[in-house]
Amino acid sequence: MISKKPVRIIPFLDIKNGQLIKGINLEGLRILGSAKDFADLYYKDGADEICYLDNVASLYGTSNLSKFIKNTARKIFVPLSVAGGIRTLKNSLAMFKAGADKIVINSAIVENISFLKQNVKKFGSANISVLIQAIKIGKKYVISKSNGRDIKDLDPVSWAKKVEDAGAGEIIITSVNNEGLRKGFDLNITKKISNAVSLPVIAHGGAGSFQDIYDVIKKTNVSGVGIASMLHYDAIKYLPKVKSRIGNTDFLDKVKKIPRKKILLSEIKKFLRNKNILTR
Amino acid sequence: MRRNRPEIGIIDLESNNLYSIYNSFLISGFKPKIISPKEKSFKYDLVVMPGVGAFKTGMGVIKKYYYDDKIHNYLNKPNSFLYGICLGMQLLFSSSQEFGYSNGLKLINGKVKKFSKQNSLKTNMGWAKVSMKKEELLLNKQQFDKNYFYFVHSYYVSPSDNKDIFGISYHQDFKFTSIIKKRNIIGTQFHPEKSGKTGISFLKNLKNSLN
Repeated sequence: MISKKPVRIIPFLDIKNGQLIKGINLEGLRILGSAKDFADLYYKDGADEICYLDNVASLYGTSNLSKFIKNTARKIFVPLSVAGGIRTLKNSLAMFKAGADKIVINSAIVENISFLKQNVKKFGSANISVLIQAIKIGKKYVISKSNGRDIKDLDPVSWAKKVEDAGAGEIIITSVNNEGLRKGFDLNITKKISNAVSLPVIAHGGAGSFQDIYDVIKKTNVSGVGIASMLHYDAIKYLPKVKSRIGNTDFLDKVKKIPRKKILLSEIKKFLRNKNILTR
Repeated sequence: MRRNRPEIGIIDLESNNLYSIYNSFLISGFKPKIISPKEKSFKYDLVVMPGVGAFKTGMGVIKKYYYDDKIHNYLNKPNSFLYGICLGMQLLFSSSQEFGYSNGLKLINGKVKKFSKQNSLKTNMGWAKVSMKKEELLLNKQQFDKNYFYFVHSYYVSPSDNKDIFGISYHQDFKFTSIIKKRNIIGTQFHPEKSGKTGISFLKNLKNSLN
């Protein structure tokens, strides 16, 4: 008997000071609302996991992320992964203590892969995910740390194998070129990485339609799909207006007036089920 | 006499997601408290040992605060109940092959083993169903057979006594034990605190069975 797991549909929330922010190609960030409100909505709507990414954490060192994780973990009873600014075992522990189930590391291990091994030894493989930000330059792929700001001339596929050997429990592959554009995933690199490793791989970056999500599940070997813009821009309509005075919120006033088709998470799952994809 | 809100003590293995454990038990009707290493003996209706992390590290913390002795003493009291979650369940076993050989609490006979090459995925991460082998008040078979629970682990338990096995699940084509129960000890490989509404119902059932 082969029991296939339901594909995990995972909202990815870029956060800064508790606010949900979103950009394009990881740049040009704007505030969308309170991250907690979005997370609550997605949990109720059947999210299989929630992933928090603190975009600026690796620029400014350790963040006050744990406070927001704590607030989120209060109401959400599905796994919560947290990325951003994890550079020491103390940082990792703080995230777990606050309620993170998995920590996601990128920058710190690009610099020093033994940091991954230390985390695996202390917290166990299964709770450590590695984020690989793949950037396509011409025909070549390289990886990035610090959210696209620093490029490292390393092939993402061989890097994936390396982090697998070092004990990572899961790989999240973000296609920086496709991120935020809502024009579909980079099937090529996602397929290569998901075939090269025997770890669960999550595809992220580019989800724009139900068909895009179906395609990446059908055409690659991923265990889950990370979705951001597509869900957030829809969710805005159901959530209270953001009260923050920090950052540019003009966009929000405009978007609330644009009528859109419903893109609820439960609708995505229904679409996939109708196409014989197993979902929870 | 049990109180309406059973008091539970949560063991802090220093690498746990204590906050979500705490909250999930709270909304399921328990009165949770994190156990302080200073407590000499456990006075709870239920002691929960949640686990995220590595076996050896977990055992290290248990030894450091004499939780092994405290658990043994607690289990000899009337109306005591121990619940191990994920690594917390694995620690109840005799030994583990994680990072070499480590001894466990030896409350359940059997070993903790690593998913081997027969599984193309070394980590069982995600949602899976649980077939409950035995019908008990605590584990309401009907209620859960169709639902998914959340798993995340690279090691699994292999009990020596079949009678301790209460639930099984699959990782790809590999069958493993996902619920154990022996006297006043229960363990689940899945995380009820991460299994959405299904997990909360599971904890509510556990609460009702204690009352």
